[in-house]
Amino acid sequence: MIKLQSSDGIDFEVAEAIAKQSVLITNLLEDLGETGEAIPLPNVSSKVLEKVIEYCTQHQHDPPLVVDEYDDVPRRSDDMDPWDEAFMKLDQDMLFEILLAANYMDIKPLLDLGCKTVANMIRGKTPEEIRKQFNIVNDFTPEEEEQIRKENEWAEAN
Amino acid sequence: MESPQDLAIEANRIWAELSSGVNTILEKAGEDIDPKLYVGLYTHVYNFCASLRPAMHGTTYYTAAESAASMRGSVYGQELYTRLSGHVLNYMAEVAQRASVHQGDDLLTFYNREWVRYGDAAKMIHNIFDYLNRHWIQREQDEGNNVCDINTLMFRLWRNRFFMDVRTALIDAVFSLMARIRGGQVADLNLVKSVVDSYVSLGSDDAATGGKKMEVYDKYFLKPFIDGTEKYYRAEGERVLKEGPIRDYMVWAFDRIKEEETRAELYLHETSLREFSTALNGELIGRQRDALSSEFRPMLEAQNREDLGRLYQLMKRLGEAVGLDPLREIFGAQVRAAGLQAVERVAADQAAAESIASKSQLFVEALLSVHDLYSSILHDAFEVDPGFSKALDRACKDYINTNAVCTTNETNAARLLANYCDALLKKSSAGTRAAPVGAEGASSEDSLEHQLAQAICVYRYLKDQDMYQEAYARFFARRLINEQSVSTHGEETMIAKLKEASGSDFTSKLMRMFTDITLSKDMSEQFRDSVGKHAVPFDFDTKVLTTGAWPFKAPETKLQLPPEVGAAVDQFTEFYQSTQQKRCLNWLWQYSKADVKIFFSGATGAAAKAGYVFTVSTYQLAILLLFNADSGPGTRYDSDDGPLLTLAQITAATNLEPAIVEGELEVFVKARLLNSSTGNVDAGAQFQLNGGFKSKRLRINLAGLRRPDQKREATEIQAAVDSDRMQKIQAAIVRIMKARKQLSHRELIETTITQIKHFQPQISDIKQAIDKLIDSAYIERSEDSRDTYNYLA
Repeated sequence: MIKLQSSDGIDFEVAEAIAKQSVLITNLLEDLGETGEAIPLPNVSSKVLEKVIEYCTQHQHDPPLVVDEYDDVPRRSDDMDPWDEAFMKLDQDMLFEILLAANYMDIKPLLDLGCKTVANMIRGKTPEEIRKQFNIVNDFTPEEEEQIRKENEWAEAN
Repeated sequence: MESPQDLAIEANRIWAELSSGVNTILEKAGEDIDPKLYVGLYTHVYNFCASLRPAMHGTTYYTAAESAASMRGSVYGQELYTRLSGHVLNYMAEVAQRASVHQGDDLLTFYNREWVRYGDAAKMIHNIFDYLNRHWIQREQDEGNNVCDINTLMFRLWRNRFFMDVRTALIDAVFSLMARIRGGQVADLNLVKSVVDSYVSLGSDDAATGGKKMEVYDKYFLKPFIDGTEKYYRAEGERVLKEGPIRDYMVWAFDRIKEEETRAELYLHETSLREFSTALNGELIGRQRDALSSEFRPMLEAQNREDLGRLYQLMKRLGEAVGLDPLREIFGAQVRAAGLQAVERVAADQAAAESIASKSQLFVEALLSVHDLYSSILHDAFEVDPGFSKALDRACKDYINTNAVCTTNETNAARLLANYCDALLKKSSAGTRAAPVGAEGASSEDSLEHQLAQAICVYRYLKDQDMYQEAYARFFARRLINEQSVSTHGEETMIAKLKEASGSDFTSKLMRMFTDITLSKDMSEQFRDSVGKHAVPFDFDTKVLTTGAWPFKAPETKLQLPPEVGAAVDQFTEFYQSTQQKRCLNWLWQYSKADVKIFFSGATGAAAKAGYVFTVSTYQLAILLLFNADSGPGTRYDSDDGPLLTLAQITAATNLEPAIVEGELEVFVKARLLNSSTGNVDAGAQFQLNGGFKSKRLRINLAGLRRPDQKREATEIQAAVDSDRMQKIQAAIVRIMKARKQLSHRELIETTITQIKHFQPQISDIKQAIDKLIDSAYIERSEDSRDTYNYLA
């Protein structure tokens, strides 16, 4: 068992297979060996760590990710596992916290899942709707906006 | 929102903690590192790269302008990378400083210790800076910028700042250590091994420019190390050569190479073992190649296997063409010369020897003595090297077929070997066969088997194997019909060996003869059973031989059989015809024999009681029986010794050719069995049984006295071989043309030569065969080109 400690000082004891989905943890265990000491994660709160562990527990038996850097096939965001989709039904703050934690702890499948979720939130929306959804202020001048629209015309062809 | 000044202060604060943590790891890697420190440093890297910008969460709005600024966040990646490089560079300078006070083994020890710790540290720092690897470095590399991951950066710094400083001192230290080991002292080879491992790990001078994988090792270790080793052994080699004979040098070089190679496996990288060996070989062997090669012939003459083996092993290291081929040539020449010499030595004895058996024995034993000697050397010293084997075979083929003895058809190697085998397999009448040297103790069967194997060994080298086969078949046939084989097992052994050497084409003929003999035994028994025990008043034994399988021909003269024998022959013929229809029986009188018992009028003692038994040929029997008659007082003849007969009377009575009758009478007169009125065999003489015949032995063999004429037999064998060869050549040509349909003259001749086994066809014979085949319309000359032949179906 591996002990993980959240930024607010709460210990989580998890099986090695669960912890090791984080490349950070994997490397640390490899470099230092298992000391039994709690591994502090100063950038992750207990609330978020709990969710991350929930995800890693669900996926602990997944086959290792095949990294293919030259993968030309566009990534799809509509092929989500039902469990993952349900798991991602979160408020926006939590969604972003999980994205940050996945990036920090280097858990690639979780980071990908978060990105897909965000992509699905954007799909089919106008720029105005997107700004509204994510609390973004439109700081473009009308001229700038026209310019950008022109440059991106190709993408809206269908 | 934080101002740029705030960010700079934050960056410095983080870096201060990060750099001190990096120092801790550089100094303590391999010891216990606190996970808090580890994750703390990792988090610092993360924060430095990811958080030194306005937070993107909470209620803070994230503007497009700020998003552009966060792209400039890459500035922090670059910043961190540069700061780390500079920091580690300083550390390396400090290590170089510490190293400068060490030399020799101390330096090696220092280097290795630092290397091991640094390796651990580099890996750990790589992982701690993983966020930088994953994001900024990854992006820079994707854009094709010359930025490497942290681990590679660490080794690049080691190599450029520290290793390049210390490498010459390291090599010097390695040499001083190796010099001690080579001088027989004890030193820690592991120090060298560890340094070598470090050189290998340092990879290339610059991975980004696509340098070779082991460039550092090749350039800064292997090359100087090999150069130094060569220099060392050049000097040593010259010293050893000066101090002693070249034989000592050989022993020394052999041992040193072995030793160096065994040792090299302990410290050199496996990929350079060959290069190292090549350098050693070049220095210790290649440099003295001519001197070493010139020792080869004297060693061969002295037959010193240990020296020869060592020289072989040394030269083998120079490769087939450079090292071994010259030795093989010398070896072949030596075998050839020794072979010719051995034959020449026995040539005189051979000419003086009486029997053909001892002539052939002298010859074959001379051949074998040389072959056996050098093949044992090949075995003991040259590991049965295929190249040496070939040289031996070629040389044997030369001296066995062309030498001082093989000058005529009768004395060619094939004939002599056939005679030798005949002598081995024939029951000796009075122990004329000399026991092979050293055969005492071994059972005679084993020694026979060994001698036959030896004969086959010579056979394999024969140029005219077909001539041997022809002669062997004749001798074999003679042994069978005369029941002279030393043992059936011996004959079978030889046939099996011949089959192994030449295939079953030839031996099937021999097997056929064997079968005839076995069947004949049964048939004789059946005949006796069928006609009853006393139907034939004497022992009557027949052998029925298949025409074509045997080298015998029916006689041209028609013998008038004595009536006693004639009746038995007629009975057998009738019996045979009843069992084997449609087969024609011809009687080979010239090969048959009889035992005849004679009571002489003047005999006394045992001879009077038991009589003398003469073994005679059937021709002799026919003549002798003419002298058999009731004789003595009161009979047809005045004399006790039967009728007086003239040459003409005998010829008329037997129906034999006068020449044959004369020959046989000469035998009888010489044996004093018959008396001639003139003392000679001539037309005017009268012959009569010599009543006063006396002999110490009661059994006398007259059948064998007329030995087969060697010259005539040789001519017959030659003729048989020639006609057989012509047939084989023609058959080969037809076979080739049938397959190829059209061929040029040159190609046809070449292909024919390669197709023919057991003898080497003469070009003139092939041409003759082609002409014959054209005459008989198997092939024709092409209309387009006179030089091309077509196959005619």
